[in-house]
Amino acid sequence: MKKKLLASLLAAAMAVTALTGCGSDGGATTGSTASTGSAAAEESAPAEEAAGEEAAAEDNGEAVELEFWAWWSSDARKPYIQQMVDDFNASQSKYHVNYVDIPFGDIFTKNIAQIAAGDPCDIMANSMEEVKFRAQEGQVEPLDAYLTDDVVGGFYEQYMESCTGDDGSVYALPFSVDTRVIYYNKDHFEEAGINPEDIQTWDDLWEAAHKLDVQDGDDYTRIGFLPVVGNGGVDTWLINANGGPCWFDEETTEPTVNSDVNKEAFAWVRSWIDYYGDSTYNEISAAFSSGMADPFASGVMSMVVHTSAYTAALAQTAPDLNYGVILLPEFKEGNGHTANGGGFVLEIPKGAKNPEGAYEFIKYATSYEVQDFLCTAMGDFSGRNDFTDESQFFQKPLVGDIAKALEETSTIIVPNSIKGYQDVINPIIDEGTLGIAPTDDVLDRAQQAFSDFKATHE
Amino acid sequence: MFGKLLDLLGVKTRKGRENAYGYIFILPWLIGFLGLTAGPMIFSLVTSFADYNMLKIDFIGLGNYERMFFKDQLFFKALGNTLFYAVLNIPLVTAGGVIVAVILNKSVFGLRTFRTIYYLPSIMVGVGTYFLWMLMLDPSTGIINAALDLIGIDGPAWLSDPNWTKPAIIVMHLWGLGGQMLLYLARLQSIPQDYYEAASLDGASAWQKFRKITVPLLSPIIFYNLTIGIIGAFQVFQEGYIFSGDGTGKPAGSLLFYNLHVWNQAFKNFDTGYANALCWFLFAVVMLLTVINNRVSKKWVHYD
Amino acid sequence: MTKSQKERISNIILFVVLTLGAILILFPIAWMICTALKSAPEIAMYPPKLLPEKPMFENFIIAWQKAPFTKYTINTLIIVFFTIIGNVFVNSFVSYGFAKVDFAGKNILFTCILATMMIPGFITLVPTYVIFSKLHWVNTYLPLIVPAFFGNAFHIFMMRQFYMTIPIELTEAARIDGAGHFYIWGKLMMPLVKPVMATIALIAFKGAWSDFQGPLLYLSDRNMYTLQLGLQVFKGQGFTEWNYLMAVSFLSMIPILILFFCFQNYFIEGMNVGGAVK
Repeated sequence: MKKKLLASLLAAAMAVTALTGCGSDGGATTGSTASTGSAAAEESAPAEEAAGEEAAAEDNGEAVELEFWAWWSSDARKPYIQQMVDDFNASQSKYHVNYVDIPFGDIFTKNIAQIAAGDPCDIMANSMEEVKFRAQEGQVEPLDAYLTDDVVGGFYEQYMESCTGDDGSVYALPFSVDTRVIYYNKDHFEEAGINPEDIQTWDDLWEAAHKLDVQDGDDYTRIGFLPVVGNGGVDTWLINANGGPCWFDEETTEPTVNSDVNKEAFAWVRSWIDYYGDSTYNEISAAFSSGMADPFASGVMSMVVHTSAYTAALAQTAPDLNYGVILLPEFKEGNGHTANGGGFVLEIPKGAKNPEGAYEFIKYATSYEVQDFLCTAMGDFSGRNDFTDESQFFQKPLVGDIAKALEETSTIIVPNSIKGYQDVINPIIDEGTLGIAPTDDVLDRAQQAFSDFKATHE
Repeated sequence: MFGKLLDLLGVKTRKGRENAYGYIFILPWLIGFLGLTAGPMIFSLVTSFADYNMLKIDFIGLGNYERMFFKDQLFFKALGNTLFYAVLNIPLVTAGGVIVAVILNKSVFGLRTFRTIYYLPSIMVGVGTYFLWMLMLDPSTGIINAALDLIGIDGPAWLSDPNWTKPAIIVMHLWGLGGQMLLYLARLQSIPQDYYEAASLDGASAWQKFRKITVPLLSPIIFYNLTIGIIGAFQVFQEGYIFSGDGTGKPAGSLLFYNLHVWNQAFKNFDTGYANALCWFLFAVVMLLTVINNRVSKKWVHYD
Repeated sequence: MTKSQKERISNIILFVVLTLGAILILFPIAWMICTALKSAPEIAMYPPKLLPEKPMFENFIIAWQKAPFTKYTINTLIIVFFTIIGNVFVNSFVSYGFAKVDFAGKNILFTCILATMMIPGFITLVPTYVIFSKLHWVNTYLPLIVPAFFGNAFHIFMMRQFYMTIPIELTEAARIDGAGHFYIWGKLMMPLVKPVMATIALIAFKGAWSDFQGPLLYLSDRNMYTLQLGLQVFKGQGFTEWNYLMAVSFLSMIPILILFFCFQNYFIEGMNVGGAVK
């Protein structure tokens, strides 16, 4: 009885509020309700109009609207991406692509929300390392129905493999790739009498770096090199030493964290920090991670590990800096100059309404001419295998040198079965880098943690 | 007018009228709660019993909860980090807010400007602020260590030293306590001056006046900030996400807060069902603390 | 020492302490402004220098013109306006119910309010997005405005606390005189809690003004972008234009600052409930 009364009261109250307001007593509430209503009417009107237009466009046989999402929003990139989109729109009349830039990181959240709501964008830029994972999670559309051999054949096999899901279907095409090299300050090298070509092994690097050090009392005013600042991590060096994945075996996915190679390599990494002292390392590392100060651009560091995209940053932060690049040195002579790299792909989110048109655009954006244009303009590297010394892009300085590093780049794809293992081992590895625990001990513990992780994730 | 409507409906008893009025007052919130908030919340509770990746649902019973306690290697680390942070942050920020408000309630030269300055940090939001703080906390060139140096203290490496990352975040929050200060000020202004004058006549010291008059009268607001503080401290996330750069809670997992762990499961590993389970466990903990806080509050919160 | 001398000395000490605190507080903001006035190479300088060699005041103008920030400001103001209206009136209305009306189920429902604060927003983000998407509200301002009219848990709780400090005798006396709750809320309570409503308006202003996640999720049309979304134009892959970012961030703080400086008496003065009873 009581409940029934309440319900009828609520219903009556709602009707009263909605229709007449609550009279003078509730003046303020009435006002606010009314303004919500009008706001709603105002805001939804343009949206409806837009929807109507779209439908009309399709009826008239006009271009189908497609949305292309990526995070390239800065002056250094956006104008060229926009140019590429405009060119595509001009090159045919079936589709009209709109470029929408959304901040990196947040774009992925927005994408997953839209896929869940069944209304995703048509073309999406995303990370190459996780195509297989997204394919397994059902977030992307396969491209098999549209792919032709000549398209597939245009990319390095390694990158196409990264774009292929565990089920054998292709889910993306490589849009840009990157690698890691050592950037060095030419003036410092000249002054210290070092020939960059002489730095071939880890020992060479150690020797050269300490020739470049400048000390004022106990403090360093110039640091030759630190391996784990900039864009280098412990894994950069362990991958280099292993010539491939360092934490697990590619075939069996068994952990290889405490292998002898890793132990030796990690001890070497830590020896740099021991050499310069923890406080120096903390300062330099804090400077780089703030994203503002840059000790290499300021000439306080003579060498730094960074990705191929660093040239674009240096053009802004140190336009007069005289620098060059060398490959990561070899762990032991003949071991190879392996660098870890990654890249970005274009893909079609699950549930996109026009996969055919989206594919047309992806094919266009990854074609040789367009890639040559984009790489030249933005400094990114391409996953295509048909670039030659004649390509426009290769006329740019340093491009040839970095391209050599790309040939020895290993893109580490974490198998889906052990996805997430890094969350478990990274904090432990960090202890070794920071000198909280001995590196050997840290690797043993991380090996154990990885094994435990694997045991519980099967 | 509403009264007449109630008469018409035959609601005559005082109790019935209070019920009707009560629901009318909370109606806007109730509609929003039922229409917008409750659905997603219940959904996340339900999917906490499932293998769910935001696109596919596969119910697995208590599997996620079992995994949390027995298999997740980061669960206790994340919980520990969060507890450590909460235990330090809540009392410091609450006490700091009260102290600053009491000081800024005095008549000092330039009061208006001081109030604006002390409030200012709480309007500085956005990612830019976090990066500014990275510069401030820089071990060698930051202002914090420079200031400590002036009084003869050799400052720590803050964000680079796993032992000092959480205190660094608390320092940053102390800087931004102007928002809390504002609420205390609003309440302090309503305390009649004659309370203090009467106490002075009785020979009460400044400390006695603070304890016997100011704190009891501020207690409803302190209780509010304490409750919000508990809820907020257990949800700390952004700081760990941004300061650790890659979201893993660097250095050495010291910034792996509970909700950062939840975020990683939900949006990095797409293990959303598990993330929801983590989330509801924390919900239970925070709810328990809130209830305790509420019980205890009856002893020290004075409403009039 | 006389009493007034003592007071003067303590005032001077207070002033010095407040000034020292103010310097520490203002430092990040000074750094923000200085960063805005620097060139890109100066920002990258290590060790960093606080003051720019030659302040580039033109950065403010260049930054403002890098994106249609005037338009973004207007868009943000539209959202802010409705959010404030919703927050101020609905929260004061709802919280009155929780503070002063004795209805069945009050405690359970109030616990529900607290509960909604204990679940992190990102957990309900996707399902909430799906709801708004099904309502066809995506790419409109509705998902950013309408929730404000359903009350905000934090504000309801906060206002309830302030209502609770108003002596019960006040409402009881009015009720005995035959006044209904609407009358008590509108005529007796509203004037008393005005400063709190102003505070809520300020917090709501700040919240909507600086919201990033909401607009990001629900707006795709660039013509509808807000200031915070616009700031992203300065963030590139691997390189951020900090000077411009800081310039616009600083400019976007000014309205709230002015608002606070001018109306602060309104925020914190008053609530002289004690006086009202006597």
